Amino acid sequence: MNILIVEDEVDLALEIENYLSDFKYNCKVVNSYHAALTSLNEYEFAVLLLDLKLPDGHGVDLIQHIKKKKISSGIIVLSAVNELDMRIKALEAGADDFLTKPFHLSELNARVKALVRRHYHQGDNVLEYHEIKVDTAKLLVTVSNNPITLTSKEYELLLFFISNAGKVITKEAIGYTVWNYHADMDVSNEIIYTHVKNLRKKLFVSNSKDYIKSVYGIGYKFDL
Amino acid sequence: MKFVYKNILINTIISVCVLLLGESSLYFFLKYKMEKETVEHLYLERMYMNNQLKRGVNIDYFKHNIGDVLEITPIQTLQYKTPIIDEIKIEEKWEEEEFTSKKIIFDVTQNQKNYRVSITKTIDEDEGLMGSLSAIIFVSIFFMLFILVIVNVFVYYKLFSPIYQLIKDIKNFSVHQLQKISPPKTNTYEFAILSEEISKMSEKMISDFTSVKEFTENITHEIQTPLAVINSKIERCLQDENLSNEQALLLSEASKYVNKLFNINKGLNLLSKLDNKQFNNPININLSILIEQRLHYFSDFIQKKNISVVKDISEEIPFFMKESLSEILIDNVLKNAIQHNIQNGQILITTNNGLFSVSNTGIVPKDPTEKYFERFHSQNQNQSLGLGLSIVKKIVEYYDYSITYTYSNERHVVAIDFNKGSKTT
Repeated sequence: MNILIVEDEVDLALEIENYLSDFKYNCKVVNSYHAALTSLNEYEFAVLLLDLKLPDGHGVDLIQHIKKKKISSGIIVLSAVNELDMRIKALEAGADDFLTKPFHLSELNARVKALVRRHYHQGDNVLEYHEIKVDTAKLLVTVSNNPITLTSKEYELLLFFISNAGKVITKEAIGYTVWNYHADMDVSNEIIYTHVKNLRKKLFVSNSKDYIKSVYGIGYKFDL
Repeated sequence: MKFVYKNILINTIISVCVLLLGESSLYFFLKYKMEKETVEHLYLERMYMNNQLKRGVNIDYFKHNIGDVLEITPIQTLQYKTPIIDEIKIEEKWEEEEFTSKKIIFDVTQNQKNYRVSITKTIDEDEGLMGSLSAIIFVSIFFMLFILVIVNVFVYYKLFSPIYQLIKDIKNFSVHQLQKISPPKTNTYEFAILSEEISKMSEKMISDFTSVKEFTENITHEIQTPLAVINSKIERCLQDENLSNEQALLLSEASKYVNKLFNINKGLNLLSKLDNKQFNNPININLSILIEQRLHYFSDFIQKKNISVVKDISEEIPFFMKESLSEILIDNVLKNAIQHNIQNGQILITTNNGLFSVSNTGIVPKDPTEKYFERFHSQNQNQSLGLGLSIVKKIVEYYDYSITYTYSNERHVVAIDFNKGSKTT
């Protein structure tokens, strides 16, 4: 699956490329509006990661161009400007998602996967990890085809873990993704710990292997 | 008081004082002059009488010819060789007035007989003339003064019209509209300079405002991107299987501070936008729905601390605010009540008479409670930035409402008064 990263901060673009490549995505990095136009003409991309402020143009113009040309790529805007007006402008132009910098690569990865699911697998929104299946359309989780009941936070946690399987995920990233930007409170870590513990227990009870591993001082890793 | 009126009032008071002083000194001067003339006249009468007596005119002849009242009494010895002047007051019963008269008394000798002569002459007739003279002067000067005041008012208004225009322009001036004050046309030197300088000042304010605005916008953008790069680099390092525990902790700490920096940046950016009045289009906010939503949002945190939330929000408080700001406002108030609460504590949320208050159990404050609204006033016990309540205060004041923070009955109380305010622009 091809992803076009349009970002003028080369270092950031390379880090994104590095992270996403591990999930079998083919990434192409361009640093300007015009380079993005050229790439869009030459290849097809499933997802476009787009910075709004480019040296030779504005991201919103590029979104409008894509919609006019009926290019089917899903678009995630990566913006340093966290303003509602700008968010609305980008979404109205046709962007699918909006992520404010600085973001966690794990969160970006989860968003990319969610977008791909919505965009390309209509009717088949199932995320699989060995015996665990998550049907994102029906909000249904099964372990070896036996449904289990999760709270909404546990569900979001599981989705986040599976999306970033094999990667170390920081507690901050979990906090920001699952609890939305108010994770700077004194009990955040305990809350994350409690929910992860409960999720782990529920998966364990339904005879799933214990994939959630604690990583000392950092967070968790969902892995074999 | 307007300058025009103040000026005219002062001028009028001074003019009236000078006028009264002038009038009275004129009166006394004239009176003095008239008395002097009356006395001189009496001397002349005496001289005339003496001359006539020397020529041999009989003394009785004068009885009907000199002065208003002439008294001639025979005396034994001469007493007043040099005449004396006396002043007498005569009451006229039918006019209920008092007349002042001058009297000259002297002794004369005719045909070896001594007489005492007193001639009385009234000066009151002349005083009447003096009175009407003063009245005429008084009235005409007052009339002149009146005309002067009227003319002054018009002239001042005409002269000061550029100043009034300028005041109006300054009142209407808002730096956010990026419209400088254009100096009103005037050929009065001082006013022209003043208008010109104020116009320049407004231009400078606009350019400063624009550059500060640009600066905040730029700094947000320019700092966020490097922070994103740092974050992603740290995340990559964390993926390393061979990371020692110590290194992992260090990286995780670094990541925590990057996030803190990001939050500070976000908070300060919001504060500066509030300072720069960059929010418009307020809408009517349904407070009870908003509170329920945000409480749900924080439910995990409330549960974790086992805080009981008591609500009495049946009274609907209508208030106007930009939706995103109302959310930030309620979030920060609730967050404060949760964050600084104790384990098994309580939060009480009430709406009463337009007053929305959130009170919570917590440790006894060390500082005066007003200090909690200051930026970066945090107790440093956790990740909290100390920007939350200053943002709350700024938002509340942005819409002309008021907020208080008190500690009473072992409760921290944040109360927002939605009765005033309601800025609709």
